[in-house]
Amino acid sequence: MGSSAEEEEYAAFLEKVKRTIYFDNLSPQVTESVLKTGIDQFATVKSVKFIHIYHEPSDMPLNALVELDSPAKAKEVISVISQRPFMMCGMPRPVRARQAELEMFDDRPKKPGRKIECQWLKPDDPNFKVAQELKQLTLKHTAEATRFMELQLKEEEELHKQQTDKVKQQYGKLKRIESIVADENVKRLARYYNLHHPDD
Amino acid sequence: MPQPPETNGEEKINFKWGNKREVGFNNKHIQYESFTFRDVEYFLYDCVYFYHNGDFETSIGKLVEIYETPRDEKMVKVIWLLRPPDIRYFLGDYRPRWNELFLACGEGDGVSNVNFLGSILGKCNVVCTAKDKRNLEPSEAEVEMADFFFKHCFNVELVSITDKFADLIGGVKVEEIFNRKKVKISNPISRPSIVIKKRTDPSGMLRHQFDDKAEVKPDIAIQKNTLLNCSPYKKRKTLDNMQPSSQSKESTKKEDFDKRRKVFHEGTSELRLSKVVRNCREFMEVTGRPGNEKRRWFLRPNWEEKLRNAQESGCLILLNNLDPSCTSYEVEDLIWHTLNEIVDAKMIEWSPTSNPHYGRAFVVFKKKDAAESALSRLNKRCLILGDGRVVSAVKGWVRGTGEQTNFPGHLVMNKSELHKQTEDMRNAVSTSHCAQPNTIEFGMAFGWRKLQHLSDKWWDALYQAQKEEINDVMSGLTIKCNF
Repeated sequence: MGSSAEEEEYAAFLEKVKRTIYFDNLSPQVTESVLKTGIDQFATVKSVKFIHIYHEPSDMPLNALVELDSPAKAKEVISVISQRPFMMCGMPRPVRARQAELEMFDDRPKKPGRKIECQWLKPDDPNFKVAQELKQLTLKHTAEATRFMELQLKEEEELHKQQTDKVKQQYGKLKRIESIVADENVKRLARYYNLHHPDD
Repeated sequence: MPQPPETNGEEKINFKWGNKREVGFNNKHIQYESFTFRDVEYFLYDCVYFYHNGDFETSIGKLVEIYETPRDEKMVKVIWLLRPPDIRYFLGDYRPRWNELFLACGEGDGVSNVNFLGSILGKCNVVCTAKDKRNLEPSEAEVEMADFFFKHCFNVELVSITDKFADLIGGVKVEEIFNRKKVKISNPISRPSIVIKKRTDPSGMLRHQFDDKAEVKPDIAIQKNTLLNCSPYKKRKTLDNMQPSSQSKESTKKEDFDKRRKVFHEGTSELRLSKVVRNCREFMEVTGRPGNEKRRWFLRPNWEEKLRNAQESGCLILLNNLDPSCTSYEVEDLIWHTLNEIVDAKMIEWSPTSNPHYGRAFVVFKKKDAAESALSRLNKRCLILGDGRVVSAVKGWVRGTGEQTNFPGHLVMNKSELHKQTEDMRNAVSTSHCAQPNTIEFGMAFGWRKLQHLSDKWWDALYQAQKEEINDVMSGLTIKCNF
């Protein structure tokens, strides 16, 4: 059994986890202050911690842990963000928020009373072969995940491109309308066709 | 020819000759077909183990002649079955199995030797799996049961491997070398109690065996000076009676010797570690490492810099297949307990795209050597955790520094248009806000939402499939684990 100090530390940490939100899909331009101001609209922010994924390529979005002052507020913020797309420091990729969990913290304390057991297997142990297989499987799974990530990034790029094109089109359309209105051509055309002009 | 030592008259000799052979090679010697030594019956063309002091492994040879000289010396002539490490410089692209041997052949030193019968350690079951008409194909069961197999020859003259067997090898007909029809099936029970198979125990146990008394001149058998020269690929440089070999062989031998000695030492240190770790069959509990309390007082360092520095100096390892609920401190304790190294560890946090079944951690060692040795130990041996996970280790890698320039999903307006906007408009863009339904932004945001949702689904599917694969393989474990 763990000491009481350990248990207290663990309990306190669990409390903290309950009132922390995990954000992902953040733009790399989002800084701590942006995050704070953004969330301050809903609740008081106690602390912000960015999570850097060091072992993946750098095109990944940023993730962050935001600690609020109460678990109720955290739940509220999460529900608001899930219902309406929330933009932070750019658009239109919305950020996502979810309830934080223990495994999202790298400095989490050990669960009191937990023991880790291990053993070295000898090569003549019948389980040695299975163990080698498991190691190979781990490597294979890592490779699969890397490949998947590449595919996902491709999909995101694709969507981004589509939306960029769409926006360009829309923007072009609106610009043309603006220029027509600006140089009085619309008024002239309205009078010619006996149509009602919105400015009259 | 070295002189045989004086016999001590009092010794009890656990030995008996078998049938005599009718062939007369050398009229002075009495040829035999079999003998019983230390309660094991050996026949002509059986394979036997020898051990020479200072070697890393035992040597295996096939008995081709068994005889007694007029001076009552019991001798055996063997053709060597070389182990892959003995000829590793000459294997080329060929990758031998761990229990594969190579029959020595050709003209030259190293094919065969004559040794004292008393230096035989035990019998060895070797089958020949060569696809040759003259060879009797062994059954699958025989191959399974065998200790070793061979299907290639190693020509000592050409120093290369070949699968063509000449008619005569070391003066012996090849049919005798191949699998012969078994008249007497060796009874597994009659196998000697000396089990030489353990590769992790090179000399400790074997030396122990030689302390036994009541053997046929055992201490003589292992003295370097009396054992005749065997293959030049084994280290024999201190023998006075050694036959002079060519210059190049000498240098390879020396390198070989040094390399093997180094490997030998590593082997023993590994042994020591396993002794510390106590009983092999049971799980041991991981205890805290020194400085346990102290590390909680200090703030965790700036990891980005630390990881990058570690990667550059080769001290970074990435551990995989830990328990995801493991903490960084527990990983440090684990490394201390199993590898005897003090390290800094950082558990990689959960992320929406990480596999929830695998716990991963970065481990920073103090020195490059320590990191490399840990890596090789974890890869060669298997460290299994209480819940059946087998720890996997690879060299750590962190992404480079540098601004992220490309973030898909953020549309950037043309800069020249921006200054035309009013202040209100500019604020609207830069503040964090919820998208309003009457904007284009809203529609596009939902496009992104859909993609995020889809990607969650396909990651889930991938990890579910991977979990099933893991469970499949783990079901083969027979260790009592708490899953």
